[in-house]
Amino acid sequence: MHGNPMKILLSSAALLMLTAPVFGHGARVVWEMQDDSVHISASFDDGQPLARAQVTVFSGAAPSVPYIVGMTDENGEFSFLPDKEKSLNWDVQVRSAGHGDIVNLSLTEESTVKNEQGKFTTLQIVLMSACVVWGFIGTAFFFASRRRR
Amino acid sequence: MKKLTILSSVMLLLSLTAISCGGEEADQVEQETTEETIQENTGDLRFIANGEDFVRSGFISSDGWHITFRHLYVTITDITAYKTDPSYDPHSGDEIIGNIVVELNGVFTIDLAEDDENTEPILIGSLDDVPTGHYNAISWSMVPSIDGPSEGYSIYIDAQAEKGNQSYNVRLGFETGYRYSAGDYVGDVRKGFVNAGVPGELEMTFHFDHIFGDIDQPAECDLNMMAIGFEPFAALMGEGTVEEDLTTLERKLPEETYAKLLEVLTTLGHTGEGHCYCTVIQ
Repeated sequence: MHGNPMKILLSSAALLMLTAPVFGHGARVVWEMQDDSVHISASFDDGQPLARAQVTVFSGAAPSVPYIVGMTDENGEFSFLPDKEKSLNWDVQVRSAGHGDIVNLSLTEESTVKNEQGKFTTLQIVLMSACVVWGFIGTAFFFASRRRR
Repeated sequence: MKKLTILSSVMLLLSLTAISCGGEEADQVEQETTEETIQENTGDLRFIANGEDFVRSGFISSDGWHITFRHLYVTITDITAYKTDPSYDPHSGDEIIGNIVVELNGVFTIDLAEDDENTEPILIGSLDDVPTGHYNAISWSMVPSIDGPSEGYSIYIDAQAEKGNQSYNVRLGFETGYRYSAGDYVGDVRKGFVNAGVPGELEMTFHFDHIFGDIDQPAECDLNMMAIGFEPFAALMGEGTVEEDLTTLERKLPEETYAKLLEVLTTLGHTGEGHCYCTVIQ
């Protein structure tokens, strides 16, 4: 080591590598919505598919109990239809011979977002209704007064 | 007419005020309810370490050495559990940011090789009365021990390696520190759920087959391609004993092998089969 520039360079490169995440044989799961289905794609960090790997799907409603158990195909892919009424949060774990990853899926439906945004308290609803009614009354008074002139 | 206009304006103003305040009120009530729930619902969280059967029972390396461990000490500290939303992705290389963060104080030197394959993973410690819920991320550091049999090393291996008629005592010490950050546990069962009266459990798992490889896996699999096997250590044998640390290995091992060893050491930490983001503590 001492006085060998090549060795110093190699060691420095190795140390630099160590500051970055290292996943020598890690697995990675990515997902996307395809219509109403969740499509899972699992691969090793080098891009090879996690073929015939065990898939376990957990619903946010009961996150420690498997909801679906299945297997990826030759391409490391798997699809399932989530019951959005049960939960919008799902976890999908994929494992194969000591390699594994788990991803959390937060499904957001437009309709659900609208419903969330459309929530008002009773007080708000009463006041808004009063406001609309008062608008009609005010308009009626306005035209009535013009007619009298 | 003027009175009517003023009355309408006041009505409109009141409505708008009520709408804006109403939302805040609802949020506040929700937040208070959440805090009350957390205070009322607490449970225990246990932290365990697991070297898996490789370490407890021994295994055959990718290059055919039968390795059995007398002791395998790791020194762990800064053990922290998190409830995160969204869940932590170790591939991101980010720090874990938790909504709730709890820490087990102390420095613990553990012998991962104690007992046999029938032994339960080692309980490091437990936190009482932590908020209930799912702890879906964990981080910990491995640091050099300041005393005991592994003094000066974050990892200390005391093993026997045999192949054919060769048999050697192996003592390897690694003095570098590591910080591991992991997301949710990956394994047969899910972990990290703390309920009132039912303790949750988080696991720090160590995969030592990453160093030596595993003959039960295909030679070209990424685990064995990444591992350095035992032959490079066997080549250093003298008088039936290998006793090395990173300082001496840097001098004695081939450059590429030493660089590979440094890389492999960052991959030891897992939670179950879930990988960690690792940084070296200088």
